[in-house]
Amino acid sequence: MRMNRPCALLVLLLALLVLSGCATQVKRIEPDEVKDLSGAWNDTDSRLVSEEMIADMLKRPWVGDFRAEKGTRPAVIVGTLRNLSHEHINLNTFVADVERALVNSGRVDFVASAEEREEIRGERVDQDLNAREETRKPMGQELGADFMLKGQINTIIDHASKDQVRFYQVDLTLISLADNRKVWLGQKKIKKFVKRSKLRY
Amino acid sequence: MIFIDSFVRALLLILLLVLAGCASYSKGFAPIAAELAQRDLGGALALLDAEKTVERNRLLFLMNRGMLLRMHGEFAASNQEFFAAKQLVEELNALSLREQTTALAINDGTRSYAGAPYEQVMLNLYRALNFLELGQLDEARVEALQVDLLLGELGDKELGPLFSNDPFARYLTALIYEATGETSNAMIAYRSSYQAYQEHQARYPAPLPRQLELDLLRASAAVGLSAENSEFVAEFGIDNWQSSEQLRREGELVFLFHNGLAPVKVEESVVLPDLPKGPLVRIALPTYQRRQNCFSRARLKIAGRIVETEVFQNIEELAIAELERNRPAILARATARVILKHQMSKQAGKENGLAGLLVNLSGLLTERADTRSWMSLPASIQLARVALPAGEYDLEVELLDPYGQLATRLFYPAIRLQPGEKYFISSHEVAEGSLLRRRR
Repeated sequence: MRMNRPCALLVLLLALLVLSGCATQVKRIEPDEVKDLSGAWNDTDSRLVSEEMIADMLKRPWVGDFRAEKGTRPAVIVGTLRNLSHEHINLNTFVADVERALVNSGRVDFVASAEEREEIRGERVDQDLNAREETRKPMGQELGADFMLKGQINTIIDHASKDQVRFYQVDLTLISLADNRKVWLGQKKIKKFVKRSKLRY
Repeated sequence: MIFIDSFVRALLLILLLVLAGCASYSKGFAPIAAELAQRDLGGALALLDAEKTVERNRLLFLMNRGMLLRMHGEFAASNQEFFAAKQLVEELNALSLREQTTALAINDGTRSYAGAPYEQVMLNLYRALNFLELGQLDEARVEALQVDLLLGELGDKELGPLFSNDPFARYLTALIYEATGETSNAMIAYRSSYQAYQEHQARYPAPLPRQLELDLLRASAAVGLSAENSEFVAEFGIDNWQSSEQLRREGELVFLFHNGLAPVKVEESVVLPDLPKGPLVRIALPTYQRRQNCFSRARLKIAGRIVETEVFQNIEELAIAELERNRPAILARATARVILKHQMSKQAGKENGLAGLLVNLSGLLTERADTRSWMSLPASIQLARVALPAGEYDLEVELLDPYGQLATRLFYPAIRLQPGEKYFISSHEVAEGSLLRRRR
């Protein structure tokens, strides 16, 4: 059976239209572009929290107080950050953000976490056996932390049929290891209204 | 012509009889269940992966795959499947008009399977159990919060107390809170679990586990609810229990026994061939068949102590109750379909007798019951807790048959209990006999 020209073209066009929906599409976007898909915790939330926390932490008096008293930069260690929310949240990204900004500010020293320390110590034990005398790093010379950063993230979710109000609260606390004093408390709240679709294809 | 007509009608009837033995979704699971009974989890997984899953049954594939991986001890991989399943449930929660229309024209099985309410709850619970067995307590806590949210949402849908409150979900939540040291949250969850048992008891036998009685006494005393505590003492007739402080000084083994497999949905159909001159009418509805219970409970032997598991979640009864709740809607859709198909074949028959018969035939052939359900779920979840001083222990588990006789032995060597911590072990056993169906 022969099709006339316009008809064949139309079929081709339709086929193209159908097929275009099948291919995987990738569009690059900037890391700071806001793109909310499901309403769950995402990179934008993580960034907003870390930016706010860093700015707040550095302008508070605890750093200056410590320098005035001890004459050195305070050494900080990251303790446990607990996720007490309704979602599985990766807290590592914003801890890394906080750590990077504080170290780069040059006003605070960061001490490796308990997990990282184990690996470094293993390396020192290995150096003790295998490295040349002049390059060997002795044990017992670690920098003890002055403060520990602890925190938690909590959520409150209210819902009615397909609508949700999601409230996130991130609390960070800096505690002095010498005397358990809390020298800084940071808090960031995020609130979202999520309307879920009632219909699908 | 009349001869041909009756001949074709007879042929139709024979075809329908043949069709009755034709494969439905639930039958496709039989070979996998057989592998499970042989304890060949690798084989079961290979069978599942080799199956061609249509998009509308993707949720069932993910749920089954997650369950099989879990039975294989691959908790992290299992959680990935369950996570994908949960996301899919979320998407499928929206209504599809296209699928509803197809369901009305063909059958219910053409819709995407979105999971029964109890199955959605079980998805969260099994994810929580996977995290607990991986030792990730805070992640398990996230699942506990999500279960609470889900039950709240199911409550909004007004499906009845059986589906808006779940005794085992509340109990597991309480266990998680107790493990994280949140005593008051644990008490609230134990109390909700107690209320859920009472609500469920109205519909099927769901006896309150003795373990929960002890937990209620301990938790209410720990948070200082002395009035409630004395009510519990009077109600349960127990005046001696391990205090919260004592429990925190010891380690605790929490053993979960997932018994057998959930019931199977089968098709029951009725054909009405004797309408004079009219087209044949067929209605197919799903119904549950219980499986044979090969094990009654598990008996734990550890450090000279003997403890038996108690049923905490009766999935079999929940599944049957869910279908019962849904039956009016299923029946209404089936009736609407009969009328629609009848009209279509009458319309076609007016123009051409043979065309009418063909439309009638296709209508009859496509009238199938939706027999889909999460079949790798156990028939029941049982639990036992043993508190012991910190140390290393060997655990021996005896699985008992319905007469209380020893059927199978399991060993778990070198369990390390730490003070104040809970150690979770799960065992999902499918015996060969449990593949048999049992009539109500």
